Amino acid sequence: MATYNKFQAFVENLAEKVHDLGADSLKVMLTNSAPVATNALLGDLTEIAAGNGYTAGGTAPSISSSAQTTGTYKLVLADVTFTAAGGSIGPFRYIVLYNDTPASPLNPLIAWWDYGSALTLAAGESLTVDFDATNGVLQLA
Amino acid sequence: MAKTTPLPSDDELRARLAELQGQRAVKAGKVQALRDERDALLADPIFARERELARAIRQAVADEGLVELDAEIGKIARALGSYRMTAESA
Repeated sequence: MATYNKFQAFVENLAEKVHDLGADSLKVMLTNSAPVATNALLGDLTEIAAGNGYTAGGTAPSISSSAQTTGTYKLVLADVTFTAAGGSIGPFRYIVLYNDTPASPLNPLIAWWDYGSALTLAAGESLTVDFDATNGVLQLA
Repeated sequence: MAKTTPLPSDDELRARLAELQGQRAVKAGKVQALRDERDALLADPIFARERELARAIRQAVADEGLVELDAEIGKIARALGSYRMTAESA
């Protein structure tokens, strides 16, 4: 299981009304360069080339649930599947979640996961990013 | 022998306190003016519309069945023997 890695700026952005996790356009993007916790914006990362089924900026996951129960907030995202068509996607190793809606700061980062090794999807192959449907992507208590 | 500085009298301390409180009132007034301007901006109907749209977006995700569609896509990709990364939650 790939570990959740937090971008440090996320917690401040969350507290200072940058994110509306229930309605903003969250996106999952791919990069082959290791992010670091002090990265703050999408522009701090190097995205893989668009094409063959990968759209620049990545894919917006559906928000399954953004709600609290007994004081604990949970963000649940549906799985995201990238499928290469007509050519390959990648190589990439890191999967990054960010918020595509805010203009200031522009496209703030939320978290990233490390696949563990560089991966190239050949035409017809897919990568499914399996978000935890029970515990959600993140919780706030 | 170390020199000692005499402690200010109560009258001097009261005068200094009044001076600082006066300074604070001026500075806090400048900050409050900016807050008032921002609050007035947020009262603009465009922000109410933004909140309406945020609610509509949440509802549309459920109404359009996007989550179920994504689950079906994932299921088919799994059946095809695709790569998978299980993302741990925070």
